[in-house]
Amino acid sequence: MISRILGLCFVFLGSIAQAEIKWIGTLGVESRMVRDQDQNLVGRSYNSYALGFSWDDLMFQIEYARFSEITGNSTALKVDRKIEDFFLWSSLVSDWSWVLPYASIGLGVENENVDTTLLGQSTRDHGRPNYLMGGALGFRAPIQILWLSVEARVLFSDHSDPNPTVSALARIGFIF
Amino acid sequence: MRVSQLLGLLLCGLLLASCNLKNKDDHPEGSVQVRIPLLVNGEYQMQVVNLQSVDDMQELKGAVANFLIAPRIDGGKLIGLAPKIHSMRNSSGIYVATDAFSLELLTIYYHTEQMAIMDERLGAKDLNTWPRSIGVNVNFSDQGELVQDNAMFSGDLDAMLIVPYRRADNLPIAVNGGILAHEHFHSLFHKLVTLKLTEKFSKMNLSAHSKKNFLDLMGLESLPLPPPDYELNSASEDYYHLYLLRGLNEGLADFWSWLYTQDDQFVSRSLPEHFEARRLDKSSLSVPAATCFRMRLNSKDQRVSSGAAYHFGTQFARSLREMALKSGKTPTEIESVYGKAILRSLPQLVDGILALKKEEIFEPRLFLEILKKEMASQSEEELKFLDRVIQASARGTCL
Repeated sequence: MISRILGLCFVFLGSIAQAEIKWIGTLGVESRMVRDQDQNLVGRSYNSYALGFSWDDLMFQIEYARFSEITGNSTALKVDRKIEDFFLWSSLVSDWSWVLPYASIGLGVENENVDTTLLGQSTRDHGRPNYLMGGALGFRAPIQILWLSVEARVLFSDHSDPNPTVSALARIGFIF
Repeated sequence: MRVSQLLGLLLCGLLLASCNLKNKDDHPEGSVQVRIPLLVNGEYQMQVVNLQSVDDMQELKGAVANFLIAPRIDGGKLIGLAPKIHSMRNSSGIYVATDAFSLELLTIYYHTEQMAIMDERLGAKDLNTWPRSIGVNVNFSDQGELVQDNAMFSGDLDAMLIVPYRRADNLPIAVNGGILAHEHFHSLFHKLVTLKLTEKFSKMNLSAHSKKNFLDLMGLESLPLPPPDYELNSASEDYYHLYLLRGLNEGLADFWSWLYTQDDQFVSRSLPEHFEARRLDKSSLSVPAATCFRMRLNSKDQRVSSGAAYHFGTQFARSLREMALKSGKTPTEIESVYGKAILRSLPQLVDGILALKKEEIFEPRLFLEILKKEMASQSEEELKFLDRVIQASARGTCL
């Protein structure tokens, strides 16, 4: 079994070595539609940072996204929540001439930290990691070096409300 | 098949599988630990407590509470959506609310569960129906203005209603265990007293909180009002008894909160402007005589007349607290002796009021005499104090 896996890895690495690799780095803003404490579905803004490479019509990226919010009243009872997630995305890119559509699938892990302040006393809690999966469809402008893209995503996590969560992402960066 | 296609298919399969995953954390079996604000040694602190009856952590459903968000009234019932609360489990497995609203709901659930346990200890579990209906973020107006920073019990809806709390510097009402216990007592008073006197008072509200405006705004249905020929002038015996019952309801609710929390200042933690008027740690060596209470009710100063029920109630609660502290009993013993005595005395209060002939009035101190009879055990100090309060109240000196 191990020898088969190793064999596949060698084939994969060999293919990469033969193909042209382009490196990618992007900054983005993602709006995820989630339920807020007032029970309304709202767009929650995540800052997103991604690094990766493309090879042939495949693209792999590691993405880090974060979000924070404060709820409650300012001094008596306040909940300060910070969410960070890491995603590994793999994408298939098509090569239309005027736009480059891509479809992605990703696996991720999310960390959440909460600081609860009650009458001036703070308590910090670190959450257990939550696992996420996602699917995305996006379009990239066919511009040399510059990466410009928009993307729609569906994220699955048993910790999300609602589950699945839909989101939209705009990114700018480089590809060379 | 290309490597990329193979990879895509594999991930698609995983993705579909994830859709069927259910979060076991949302449907706990047995008790769960949560971190909420709780009064410890006279101060509110974040504490880990057990919730024993939650079936669904996401909608916070369980045996004791049924939450409704921004509810409305339809067909005489409170209708609203169940909340979705947001929490995470920390590294020790404790549930921690990830927003302030969820923290408030977890806290209300905890206190409601504790109220159910206390009711059971005192033999009153069957007075209420469970789970209790609790409306949160309730929107209603009083004289055209949205009411905020308040909580109330509605007898007609048999529900606790909590309106939004907007203050920045004080403890939100939803996490104030004393105020939640106060409102819970109104539900017991409603079953033991109000419903029994409904006919006599033509379904008038015996809680000092406004109800009619709430119904006007929410909607859709109004409760029966006194018949048009019902003349309730401030000199009438009915008017006096109505406010006497309101005062007792408020005073006993304050004392009930003290039994539950031992907090002398539970009202002012959320509503500091009521610090002097509602603090329980002041001595009260008498309860108002009927003549004094009527004088307040008939006062031309509207602040005095409208606050008469609370003023009366607070004096009552202070006397009971002082007597309990003189007893030398532990808080558990005090809860048992005083809680049971109050619950046994209320039906006698009803009998006493129903037995009154025209133009007769029920003197407030008579309730203390009923209470004295119903208390299972009294120390000498306690008895001496109670007799002193009854005698001072009989003298009719107005404070």
